[in-house]
Amino acid sequence: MFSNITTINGYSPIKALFLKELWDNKRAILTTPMVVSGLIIFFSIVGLINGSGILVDGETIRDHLSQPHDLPEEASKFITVFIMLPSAIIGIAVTFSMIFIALSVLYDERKDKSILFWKSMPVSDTQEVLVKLATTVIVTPLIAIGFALLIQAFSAILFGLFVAINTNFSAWEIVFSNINLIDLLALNLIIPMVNIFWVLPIITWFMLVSSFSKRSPFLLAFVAPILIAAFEGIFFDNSYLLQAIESRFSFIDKIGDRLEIYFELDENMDLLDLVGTYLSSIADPNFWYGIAVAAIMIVGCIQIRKRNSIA
Amino acid sequence: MTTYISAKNLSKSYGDFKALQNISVSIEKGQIVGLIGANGAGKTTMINAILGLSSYDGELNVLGFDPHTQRDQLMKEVCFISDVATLPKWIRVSEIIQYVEGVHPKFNREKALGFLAGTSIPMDKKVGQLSKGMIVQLHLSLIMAIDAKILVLDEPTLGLDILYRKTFYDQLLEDYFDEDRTILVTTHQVDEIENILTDVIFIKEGEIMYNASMEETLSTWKVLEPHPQHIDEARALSPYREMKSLGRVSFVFNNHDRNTLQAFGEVRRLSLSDLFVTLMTGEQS
Repeated sequence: MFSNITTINGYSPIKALFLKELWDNKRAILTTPMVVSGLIIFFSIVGLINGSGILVDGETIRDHLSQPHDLPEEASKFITVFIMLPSAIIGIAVTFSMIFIALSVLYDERKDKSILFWKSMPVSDTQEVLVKLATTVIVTPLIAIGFALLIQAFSAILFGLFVAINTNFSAWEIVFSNINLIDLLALNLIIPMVNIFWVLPIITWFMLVSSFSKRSPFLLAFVAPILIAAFEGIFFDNSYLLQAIESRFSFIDKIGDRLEIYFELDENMDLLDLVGTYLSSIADPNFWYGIAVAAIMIVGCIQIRKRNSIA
Repeated sequence: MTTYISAKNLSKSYGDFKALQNISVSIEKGQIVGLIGANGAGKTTMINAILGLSSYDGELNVLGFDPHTQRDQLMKEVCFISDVATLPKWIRVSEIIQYVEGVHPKFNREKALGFLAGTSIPMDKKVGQLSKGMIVQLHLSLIMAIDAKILVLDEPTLGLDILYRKTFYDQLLEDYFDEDRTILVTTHQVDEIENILTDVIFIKEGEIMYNASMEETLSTWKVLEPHPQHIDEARALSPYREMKSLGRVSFVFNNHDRNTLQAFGEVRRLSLSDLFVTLMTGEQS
């Protein structure tokens, strides 16, 4: 089944375009989350064997569990923290992957002239650019989420084993009965994807820079906004650009606060509540301004790729 | 005759620089056309316009398509090798075959594998690990497995050693070309393609200087190597150009009867490179 997805037989242009991006960006898309997952699994095992490596509220796990708690209410949240937290590391690593892909995806093909080969094939610039965008903002995070889920499953099993061996509680009662699969999936999928679509204008800005930059899109992508903000600061005492960028993260901030409350373990908040608040942020007009700006940048990428052939 | 490529007043400027000036040309089915010019003469500009890689002014029709706005449809019927080094270095041979099969409805995988079987290219290697010659063989194998109407080659053998250059054109003629296809080729190695061309176009400073079939070219342009005692008589026939090499004098004639010339010495065909130099340097006598 897997080989059906990763090999091409016969005419199927969209699949071929996605596989091409996957082959090209294998390191950022596959290797990065794989290596990070490997490291997380390795250190979880080491940490749990020591029993002292991971601290929760200043206590080691062993200490934490050996004290009587209001089970299972509190355990549930503790388990969620324990299981979800390592995924955040993958999230950070893959954020870098996405920035890297967005900055190189329309630049490298011009630099190594392979764009002339891609353009000798019956594929439109629109198709190419849209597949590159989807690879950056959908395929890459989805693969990372897949790895995150694997790690979470692994953590749950590992934790269950730890509880069974080291404590008097039953692993089922403390760990497995507390895992709500649907909640977990919703958390894993919706939170990163909503975040990504909030910052879509920034990602598409990176792609736009990579479509026209003559050299080092990385530098230009960061230096240009800094210069503009500094310029605005001098002449207007206020940077609209910085405000616009900040507005992309304001919601994430708000959610961060809520997550904190959730993890403080004393608020009676459901996981799905959190996902719901997240989803409802899509109703914010600010979200749609961002999508509109991103769309304009993508149209720009397509037009520039149509005209420019070589860096 | 079916016209595959037709250009009327095709122009392209980069700022003040006019890369192409009012070019009108028509290329038919079954022709192998050599587009020849010095560096910066406008060959690549013209080819880029035909392939839809750049915008242009004037009229251009390739197989019924407007290349710039309909490049994706046009590429189902047109193949091109722009340069030896356009295959991406990171892709594996097996992957690039899959990719072309995936995006090109007229690609025949068996054919490509057949061509590749005749080479020593390993399927699991990345393009960046192949030699320059192998990369060209790979590109050619992919292109020849596509059932296209027009093949455009822009300096396809640049930087290749002589063995690969020779087999490149041999294979193209043997395994690919037929009367339903058209090949448009630019190269600096004029002598290399002279024998396979049906037509030739010389381009200078963005304008077409000469456009004729090889047949016509061979019958109108001749070189006379006069016997030493006939040099002055030959010169009196007002040759187009006088050439001197290794102490021997020869004359280039345009539109002179072979029999008249033969009375003064040996008559042979004018090579394309000599014709190019003759036309570029202008009338001399």
